[in-house]
Amino acid sequence: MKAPLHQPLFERVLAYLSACGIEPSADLQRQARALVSAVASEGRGNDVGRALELAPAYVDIPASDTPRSAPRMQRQSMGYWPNAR
Amino acid sequence: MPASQPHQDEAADAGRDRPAVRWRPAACFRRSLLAALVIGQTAVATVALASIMPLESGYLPNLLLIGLFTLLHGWIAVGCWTAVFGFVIRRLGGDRYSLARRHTEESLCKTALAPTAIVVPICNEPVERTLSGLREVYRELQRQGRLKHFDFYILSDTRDPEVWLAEQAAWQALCRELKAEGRLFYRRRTVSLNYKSGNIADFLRRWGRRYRYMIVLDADSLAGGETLVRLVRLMEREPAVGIVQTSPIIVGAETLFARLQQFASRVYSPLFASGLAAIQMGDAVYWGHNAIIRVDAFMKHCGLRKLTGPGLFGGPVISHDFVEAAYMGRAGYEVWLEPSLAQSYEESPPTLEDELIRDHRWTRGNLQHLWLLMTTPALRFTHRMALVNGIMSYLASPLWLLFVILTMITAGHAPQPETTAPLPFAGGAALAVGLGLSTLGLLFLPRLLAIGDILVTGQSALFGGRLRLIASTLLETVVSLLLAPIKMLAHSRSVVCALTNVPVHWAGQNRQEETGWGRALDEHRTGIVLALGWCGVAGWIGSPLLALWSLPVILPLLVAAQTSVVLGTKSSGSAVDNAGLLATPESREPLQMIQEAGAGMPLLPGGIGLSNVQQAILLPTMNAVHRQLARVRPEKQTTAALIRHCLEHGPDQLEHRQLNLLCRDRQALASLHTAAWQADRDSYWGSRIASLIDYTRLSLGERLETTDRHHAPAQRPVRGAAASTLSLDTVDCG
Repeated sequence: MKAPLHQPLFERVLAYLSACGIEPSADLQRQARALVSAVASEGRGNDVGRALELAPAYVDIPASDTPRSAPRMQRQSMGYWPNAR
Repeated sequence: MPASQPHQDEAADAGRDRPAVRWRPAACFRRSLLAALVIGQTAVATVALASIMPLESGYLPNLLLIGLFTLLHGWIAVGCWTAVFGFVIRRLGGDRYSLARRHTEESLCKTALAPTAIVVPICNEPVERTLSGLREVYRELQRQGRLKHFDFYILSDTRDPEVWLAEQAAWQALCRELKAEGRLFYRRRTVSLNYKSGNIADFLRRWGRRYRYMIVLDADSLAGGETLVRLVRLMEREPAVGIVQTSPIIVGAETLFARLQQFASRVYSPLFASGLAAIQMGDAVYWGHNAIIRVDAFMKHCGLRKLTGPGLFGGPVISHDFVEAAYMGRAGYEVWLEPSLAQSYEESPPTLEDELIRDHRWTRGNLQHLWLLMTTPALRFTHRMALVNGIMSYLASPLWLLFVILTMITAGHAPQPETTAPLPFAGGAALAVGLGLSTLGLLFLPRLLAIGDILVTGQSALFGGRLRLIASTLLETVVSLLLAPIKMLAHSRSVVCALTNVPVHWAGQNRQEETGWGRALDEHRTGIVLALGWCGVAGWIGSPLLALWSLPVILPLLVAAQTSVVLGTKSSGSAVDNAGLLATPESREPLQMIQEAGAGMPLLPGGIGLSNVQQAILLPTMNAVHRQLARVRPEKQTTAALIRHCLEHGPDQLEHRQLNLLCRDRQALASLHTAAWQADRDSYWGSRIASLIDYTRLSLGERLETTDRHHAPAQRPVRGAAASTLSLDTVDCG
């Protein structure tokens, strides 16, 4: 397996992980390399889908912390004149 | 006091430090005095005008001119006398009937706070600026240690997916930054019914029951923590009050136009607001923002039905605030304007064009009130007068225009002593001079009083010193004179558009952009053409008198574009600021809240080179946020087709409504995300991912293309901390 052959996958995986909010670092590159290596060893070439599938097993991807957008609803009607009298 | 809730009488009295303030007799006296002054002065002025009118122009034009003069003179007299009231009240040390003065500081401090929602309705607003402002309001309450009593709601009516996706991302970032989960909420309506009032009503129907009060802020509003807490406490102490409106001061101006507004607001507003508060008392109006509202009363009595009249008078109420205040009053609740509450701020439109666009919408909204005046029963007289005043704010312009035209026509008839009015010429001249001075007094007396008020209280240093304060006022006055005919023409056009029911489209308020020549010429071309036409007529008739009379109106119209460009740039604003002119206490030494709102930490990722829609599809973090806020929708062929199209050609070719459909569909966002990352390098999304790769390279501070066999690792152009462990070429791939 030639390294240049998998360079596009490596770059894409690294970009994906950076976009996940992980600070690009030597450590991250090492993890990305291991991930690419795993995909390559499965003989799946530049399979980005597979790489993204495996990514959580190789890299500690921060969980999405989307807060609750609204509290529990407590419905009530608006009053309209003359009913409101 | 609501008739249906008599028990609140005792509650109201119990809440006060002193027995209930009987303000109605005082209000009756003040309003009668105002009416007497306005009607008396206008009557004298009208008689004087009728006495000196030349007879040549004919009976009907004269009658029309006198009628218009009476109406307009009366209207500006109301403004002037309101300022005089304000000056007197301020010189007397404040209004003893005012809500804020009924309670001692000690008793207010002891008053417990109640659950309050701070709601910010937005529609296509600059996201960073809006949320930076909200962040400062949040921090203010945090500093006060009162956060637990307040929840924050961003209520979006934004339709542009580029903007609302940014809103969602910024909201999430702000929640994370402030650790405000469970306290700062975001809601976007997918169906925008009934404009801003519908947005608020939507919030109230869902969550209104959770809160006793809501404080409404605009996208550009700021309010100090102390003020917010004080508002809640005042409401707690005064159960009979439905709304307390603060008097926001304009801050954050950069262009010369906005600086002029800021200066005028800071210098003149205290006088007008004090006067208005003194006259309206518990029958004041709501201005739509920077106010606190009693939620249960509002929900019960202030639902706004769609209007059922013809044309303009049908459909949703646009200018809702005055109507809601009137309904609150009709239900028996008091509405107070409290100018003494400091630290309430808003911003001005940056350019003349933006103000005129806003006025165009407000004209339609205010003229709608004509229908409400005619058809709504049981409104209080003061609220009816407030609605009339709002209508006149814009209807006055075409009336002024007609008045100016009639005046020019009248002046065009050369005055001949033997045919003038019965009074002797000398007496007529004296009357004319007196009338002119009286009218000028009405226009300029409030300015003089405002300056006097600042000088007497020794606050001139806050405005850069006495000389600079006076010079700034002169500058503001000259520009006002230049702008008056331009606004008159623009408002007249808006009135005609409204009455002929030309629909208004609202795409959000520009709060930052400057004016360019193209935009200025486009906006003012009608005025320029009319002014040139009038000059032509004057030349053709050969009447120098006509030309002279028309000069104050024609000249500003001719130079409207130049005026607009000069006023609408930040450089001119900076130049004036550097000269120390148009300074206000807030611009000289802005509070931390104002500074941070203008230049706070960015909430959205910058420098990635992707649009917000692209980010929502590509960036896993963004995709997760937007997916979370999206809905689960049944799979449809149309959605599948849109997804295919978006994957193939990108989102740029899709319409807003199509993108809205995709971006609020949880499954569609997930599918797009997965498929985009697997796209070929040469495809649309492949090239966007390439830009992300470039961005990652930059972040790493090194080149990733280290598989170049021509360079030994030591020779490679590597920078950054991770220089030794670089790339795939060190991977054992088997």
